Amino acid sequence: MQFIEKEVCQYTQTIWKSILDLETTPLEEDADFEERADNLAGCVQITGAWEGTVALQCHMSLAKQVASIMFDVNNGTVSKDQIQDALGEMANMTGGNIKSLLPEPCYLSLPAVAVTQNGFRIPGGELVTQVTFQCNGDHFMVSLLKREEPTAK
Amino acid sequence: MLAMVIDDSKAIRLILGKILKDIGFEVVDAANGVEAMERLKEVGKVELALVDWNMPEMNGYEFVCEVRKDETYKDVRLMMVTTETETSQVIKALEAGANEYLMKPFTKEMIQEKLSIMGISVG
Repeated sequence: MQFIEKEVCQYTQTIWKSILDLETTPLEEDADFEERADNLAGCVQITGAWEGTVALQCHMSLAKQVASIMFDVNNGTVSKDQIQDALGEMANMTGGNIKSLLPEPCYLSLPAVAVTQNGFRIPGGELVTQVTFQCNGDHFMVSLLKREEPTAK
Repeated sequence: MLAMVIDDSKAIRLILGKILKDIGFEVVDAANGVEAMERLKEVGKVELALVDWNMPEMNGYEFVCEVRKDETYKDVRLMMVTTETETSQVIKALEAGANEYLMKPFTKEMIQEKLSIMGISVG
């Protein structure tokens, strides 16, 4: 079991159910998240007593579905801004809930969203937890990366 | 009754706005504290404001402080709706004048329950 994996699963399932009314299922620990050219990543930085990043990655198809639900518009008409807003807020809620398990005080950044054609990398971030979920036939991944301690010179 | 939703996410403004409209409120919104102060001046009497914490320009805590400094808005009920969950932060917001605190994610039922605790009955 990874660091706070159970809570990451629980929070993610609650957020997706409460906000989107979508059921999500965590997959086996070694389940791959297929990296495609249309991957999107929403992320928030945590600073303070614990430093790192919470990232939510999904494919464009699922991101459009999330945005269409949140904005109550047809999946085919959802805009790029709506997708970025929706994924950013989902990352924000995920990060905020995870932050509640970390040592205080910690501070959450505003969310950022990017298209990640070649995968999502945080320089200096050590992956501590990663869970892939299934949702409506698509997959998304929640990752928690701890900022590596600067090496003493 | 007029309510204001203050959140930098347009999606959350829409979702919260829809919940409040279903309950019976008229709703205006703002994307940050600065915009919210301007909207308050424009629309006058607002009964309720749902306020996010982490926003650009002026965050939710700063907005609560600004509103509570002005006697004109003493009757506005303020509910923080946010991912900010640290006990110290919750206390800080309540001490600054927030009336209630709700953690995201929320449901319509949670909002209604908090409004009931605040003595607001609509619809």
